[in-house]
Amino acid sequence: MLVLTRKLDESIIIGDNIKVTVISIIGKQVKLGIEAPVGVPVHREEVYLKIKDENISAANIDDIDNFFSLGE
Amino acid sequence: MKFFSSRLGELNIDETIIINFPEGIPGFNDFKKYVIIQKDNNKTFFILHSVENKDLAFIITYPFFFTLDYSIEISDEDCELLKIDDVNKLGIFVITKIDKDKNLFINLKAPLCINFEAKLGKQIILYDKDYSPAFKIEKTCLSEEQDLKEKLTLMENKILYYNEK
Repeated sequence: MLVLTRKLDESIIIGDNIKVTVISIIGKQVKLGIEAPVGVPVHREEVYLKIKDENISAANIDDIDNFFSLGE
Repeated sequence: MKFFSSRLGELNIDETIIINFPEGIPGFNDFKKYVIIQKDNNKTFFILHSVENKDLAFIITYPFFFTLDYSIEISDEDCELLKIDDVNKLGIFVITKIDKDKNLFINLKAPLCINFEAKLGKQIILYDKDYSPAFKIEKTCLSEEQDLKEKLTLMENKILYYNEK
């Protein structure tokens, strides 16, 4: 992992077109501004990992008819 | 074109119903092309099936069958990605799963947002909302029938109709 220290309002650029700026620092919370091209997703890690796990578990379908027989 | 589904066998589709997910779906980012299948005329659950991976499929449903308290906000970036200027033109679906005891769960935290006209989709994670990624369904609650009909007509003729019988 590359570790850099930035002050308020300073930025880092990743590759050619992804920019991360320190917008504010309040207590233990750092607000980051991210500029990235459309199509490059930016995610909060722990939520993203949770969604990824949910998707993997949902795609593991034993028998699709279990759903279709739930009916009303 | 033909593609193979390990659960449904060989399927033949018109390429115009293929929906592109430019960012893939989290956990399966390499696969970008899907079709929606209606099986045996079921109007509650649909299959979102990869055309690139025979084993990859999700059972999806329309969230308003199960909860009326659901509102989605979409960022400007996502509007641009989905080529949409009006959120109401999107088809909103949620991925479902069933546990060993046949309890049904829907992912309200990350709905699938689909522009059927432009054939673009994305699973949008609602970071700022407190919805559950595994909301347990106790009962159904149908929203206004008229509303539902409008939303479901968005997909008419843009999906694969599959009947086993």
